[in-house]
Amino acid sequence: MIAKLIEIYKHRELLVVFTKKELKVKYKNSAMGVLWSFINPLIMAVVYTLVFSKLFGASKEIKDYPIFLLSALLAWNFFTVCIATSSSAIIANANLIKKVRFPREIIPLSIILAALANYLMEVAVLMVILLIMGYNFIPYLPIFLLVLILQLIATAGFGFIFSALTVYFRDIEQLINIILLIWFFATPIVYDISKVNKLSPIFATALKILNPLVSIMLLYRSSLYYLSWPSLQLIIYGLLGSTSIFIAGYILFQKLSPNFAKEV
Amino acid sequence: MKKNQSSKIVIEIKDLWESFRIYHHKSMTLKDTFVRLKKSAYEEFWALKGVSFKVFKGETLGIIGENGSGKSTLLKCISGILEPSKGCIKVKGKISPLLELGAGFHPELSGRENIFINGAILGLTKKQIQERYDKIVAFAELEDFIDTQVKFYSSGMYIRLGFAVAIFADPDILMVDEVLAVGDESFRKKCFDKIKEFQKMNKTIIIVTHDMGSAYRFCDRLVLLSKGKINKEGKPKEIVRNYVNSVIEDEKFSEKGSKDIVLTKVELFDENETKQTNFSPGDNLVISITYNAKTAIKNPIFGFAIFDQQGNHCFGTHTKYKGLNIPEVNGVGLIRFKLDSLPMLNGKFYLTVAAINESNDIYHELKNCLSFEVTSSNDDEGTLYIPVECEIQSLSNKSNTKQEVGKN
Ligand SMILES: Nc1ncnc2c1ncn2[C@@H]1O[C@H](COP(=O)(O)OP(=O)(O)O)[C@@H](O)[C@H]1O
Ligand SMILES: [Mg+2]
Repeated sequence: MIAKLIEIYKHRELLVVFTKKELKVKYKNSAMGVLWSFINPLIMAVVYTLVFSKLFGASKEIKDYPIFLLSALLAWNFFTVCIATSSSAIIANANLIKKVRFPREIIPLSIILAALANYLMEVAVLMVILLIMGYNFIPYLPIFLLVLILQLIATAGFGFIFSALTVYFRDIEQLINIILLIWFFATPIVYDISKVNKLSPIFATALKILNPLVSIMLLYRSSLYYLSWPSLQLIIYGLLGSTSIFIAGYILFQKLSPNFAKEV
Repeated sequence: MKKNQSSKIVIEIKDLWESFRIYHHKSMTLKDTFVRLKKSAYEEFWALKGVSFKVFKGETLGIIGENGSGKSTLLKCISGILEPSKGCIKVKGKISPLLELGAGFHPELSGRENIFINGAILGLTKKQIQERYDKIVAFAELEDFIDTQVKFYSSGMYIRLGFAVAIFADPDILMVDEVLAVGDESFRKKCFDKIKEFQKMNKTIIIVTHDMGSAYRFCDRLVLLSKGKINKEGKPKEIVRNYVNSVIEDEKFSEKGSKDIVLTKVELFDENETKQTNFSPGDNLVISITYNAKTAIKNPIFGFAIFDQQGNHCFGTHTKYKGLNIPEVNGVGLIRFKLDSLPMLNGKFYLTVAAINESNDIYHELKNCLSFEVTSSNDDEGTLYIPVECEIQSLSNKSNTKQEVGKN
């Protein structure tokens, strides 16, 4: 495992080139280019706010619902883009896989880095809005950085899993949108986890353990929205969840990637 | 071209096995996975079955074999694209693989962007690519199209770019797979020149080709693969002959006649009296026929004919035409026809020999008993071999072209 990580490190220049390639391909054919990455979350925020806060009355319990929402929604979008792209990435790069040798990990990793570039721009805009609205998150930046790293680790793990499995089960490419939809509602993005806790504490704990994204979203919220230090327990959940997903995904990818060139 | 291969091994392959899964359904779905729990949905197919050989520093190795014999699979294993199922491969040095159609470009991106991506894949730093960029573009002759998306490239342009990047990645080991069969004539020439340059620089080259001409011309050693195994390995001359023989099963062969004289053996020799079935245009050739007459036969005539693959009668003659009168044969003997300067350029030819009497009754005829191949070592086109000299003489005084003579 260490040897492989060193090999990936040796190919870091290739990782940069691939990341740039991802970004270029993404924006090549759209006139508005980068603008879309701002318009999309904006529209989503408006729609969700209308539906959840006005229709279901979440605004009575949750102050500044759009901020509440965006502090997790942007991270979720980042995650979704990574997973959806990863799941078709190996097949989309079949041409390369079949003809050149390079560490296959570069493909899902470059996808994450390219999406990260987008995400950071969106977060920067959100942060400006936060400051304007009087949310001084600056003391809590360490928490934000920590959860960002945790998310990257977890996303890499899931990226490995989905990119590798799709080579063998092509259906995943079709199923991924449904999987992500269910996952969306199994993660406290539009709702508050404390509400679930009140209804069924066991269910809330199960969610926290089974879905590593729960603790990640809660950590984002505490650093950007609640502006409070999270409990140690939550940090440990996040740490354990993301590293175990990373390790599982990494092992699976190591097992399946040598045969990618035969199967794509 | 022979170098001192002081046993410096750069690639060593030991007992290499490689299998593919052949799925019964074209694409695999989740449903298949559950079905597979009951019944295997795929079969194991062995594309390589215990291949072992070594490649020495500075050598040009050719890998030949029929389609599907595992040549590309072998190259992919060597370059690390495929993981071998069994066996081991040791490679010393940087490999630049150029497999089939181009080295994996991204269609949405421009030629320029792809040069940088491919350079990085081949292990070049950004700076190194920038230094070589102009040379790559010039070699590929793509100056006007370098900012066009690669998806708009013709296959020739694609190959040119692929070859240029691979060449300028400065590999220790260059591998080319059938690439040289595509592209226009002038670019092929350029590639071959580049390969010769690599040979002079004592680099190791592996060429996969089904073009016997280039295998013969360029390689120091050939490996003949058939059905995933090494059929034969050795000097190009021997291997090409072996390949030709194993590919042409003499299914066209037939015999007839009264058999008062039996033709027991027919052989082809080159001018050095070694048995040979592969010739170059202009070579001398000897047809040797052994006969056995059980009783005394008066005034027999021995002859031969050459047919091409389409069955056209290219040539035929016999002893009487040539003024050799044979009053009588009895017992075993030998007839030899010496053919001066083969006039064919390229192709496979079939030999028919016969013994007849004065009134054309056949004692024994062996139709298509042997085949031989003529392979041109230059780029002349057509069916006939005509030695040509060319010259140019400028008749105006405008250019300072002096008289020049070209010859092949
Ligand atoms: N990815 C693959 N999946 C299944 N079979 C394959 C795959 N690649 C090659 N094969 C099979 O392996 C055999 C050898 O192929 P290849 O090495 O391409 O032959 P060659 O290059 O000598 O024509 C062929 O029968 C081919 O069908
Ligand atoms: Mg091939």
